[in-house]
Amino acid sequence: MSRLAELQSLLQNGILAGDNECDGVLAVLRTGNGAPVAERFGIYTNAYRARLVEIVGKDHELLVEYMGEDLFNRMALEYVDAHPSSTTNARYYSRNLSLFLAENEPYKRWPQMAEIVSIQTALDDAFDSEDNLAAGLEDLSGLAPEQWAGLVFEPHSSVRTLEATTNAFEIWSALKAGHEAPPPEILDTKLTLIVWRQDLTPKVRPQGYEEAMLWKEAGRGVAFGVLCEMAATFDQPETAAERAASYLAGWLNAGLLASARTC
Amino acid sequence: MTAQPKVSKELDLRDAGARSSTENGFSKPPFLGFGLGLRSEHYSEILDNRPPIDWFEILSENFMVPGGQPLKILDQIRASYPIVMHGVSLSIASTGEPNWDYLRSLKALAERVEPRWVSDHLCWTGVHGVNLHDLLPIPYTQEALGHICSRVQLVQEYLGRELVLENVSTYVDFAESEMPEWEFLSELTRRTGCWLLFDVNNVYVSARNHGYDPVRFLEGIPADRVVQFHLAGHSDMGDYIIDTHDHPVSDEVFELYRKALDRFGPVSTMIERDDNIPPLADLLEELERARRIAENVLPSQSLLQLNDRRNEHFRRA
Repeated sequence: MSRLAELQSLLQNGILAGDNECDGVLAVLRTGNGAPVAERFGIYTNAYRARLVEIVGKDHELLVEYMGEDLFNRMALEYVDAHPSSTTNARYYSRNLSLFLAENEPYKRWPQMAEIVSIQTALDDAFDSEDNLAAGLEDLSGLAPEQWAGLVFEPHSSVRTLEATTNAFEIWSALKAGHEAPPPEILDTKLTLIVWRQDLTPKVRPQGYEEAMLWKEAGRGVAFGVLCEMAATFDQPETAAERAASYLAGWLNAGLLASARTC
Repeated sequence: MTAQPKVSKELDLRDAGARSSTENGFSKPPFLGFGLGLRSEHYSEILDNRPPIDWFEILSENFMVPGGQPLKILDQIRASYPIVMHGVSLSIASTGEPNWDYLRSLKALAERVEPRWVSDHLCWTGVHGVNLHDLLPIPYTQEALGHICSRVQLVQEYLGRELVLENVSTYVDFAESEMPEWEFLSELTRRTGCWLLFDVNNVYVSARNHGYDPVRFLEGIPADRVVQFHLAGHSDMGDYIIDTHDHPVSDEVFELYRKALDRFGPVSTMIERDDNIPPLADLLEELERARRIAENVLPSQSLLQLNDRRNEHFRRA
């Protein structure tokens, strides 16, 4: 190992440990005039934590509001210690936060917190996801009636789906609107949330069970005719095609599909 | 919250080992005039009013994303203004493996943006796969110089362009340093052909923190290798200064800027504000102060040519 590599490892270990009085580090630094060298090395050790906590807080402002600053700062410091950054882009530093909250005490006792973070992370990912033209209703205008059953779909690259076990979406929506958050609840059945970007704006909305099921199958390449049959099995057969067509119109109007074409 | 540091010569090309611009097919980047760091708080005002700013510096990492609004806005702004790219994660002095994913992404952005130049800092940001998101100091040794020169050459070859490297603010220095920072920078530019971004505030901060005269730094840098100045604010903690970029530029830094202009001549100058972002009008006032200092120091010819270019640009826009 070169001397430069040794020095870099030494400094990095001191910074990660938050130890501004680390003997090994202080021994290689010049003692100059002004503040003691431990105090000056402390600028780096303090800045490391403060900067990452600030990044997490800016990424998740609604979580800060929901948790309160004290609990959030405690949690964020624990996250920073558990997850040294490996990304060159601070934009992605918080990406493990939802999992951290879901797996660690005491935060896992409040599963809505991890889900609030998942919603925000999905919105942020949709915000700067790959550019991709969205298909519209007009793309289907020339379609002959017999071609509809063979239509297959490609989701827009910005689309993400989440499954919430709590009323996190309700809490997130209330906080976003500047209202008081409702009390947390565990849902009887999981709620599917679909997150995407329409033009330049990231959006999120819940999907009903039937729509969520058909969306999932459509994303796997299942043709529209089969989706209608699935809808008929799920609920009233006589309105199945109408319901499926209504979902499809909604997907096209919202920019959820990159393409709708006959196979 | 405690103040946090920002995360962010006369060269004899006849010497053996020196790479001149003409040998590489690159020429010295032009004097762009007086610019600002592009910040999201000012997007609307810039797009709506097209203020007369000569150029913008973008933070490369902010746009190293797949798509969406950031890149769309950047496309709109670059249609009206010259752009330079400034990164914080190149980690050119790191002894870790080169980060090829980062370099690929940086190169792709440079191909899209076609900046006048691409800059980053003479520092390291982490080793062993960790990024500390800080601009960390290096020992000024021959060993470090050799390592960094080879990295600069590698990156320059990969990007197909010469890098511009900035001196960082430091709060500690290594007992085993063998030369002053300005000598290290001079040798780095001599050996690799990279250009220098002379951060006037960082020189002031480091000089105060380490107890030397900033003019010694200034006089130790080869005059023809500096292509950009940063002007920024700092937090004075009494015994030391932290480079926070959350205050207006201090009088002392403006005074050092005057001396830098006197030594380096017309060099593209910008105000770099990263926190506590004020209205655009406040930054334009600071920029105007820099412009007035330049008008007093520089030969009028150099600024007249710039004014002609600027007027022509905004007439066409």
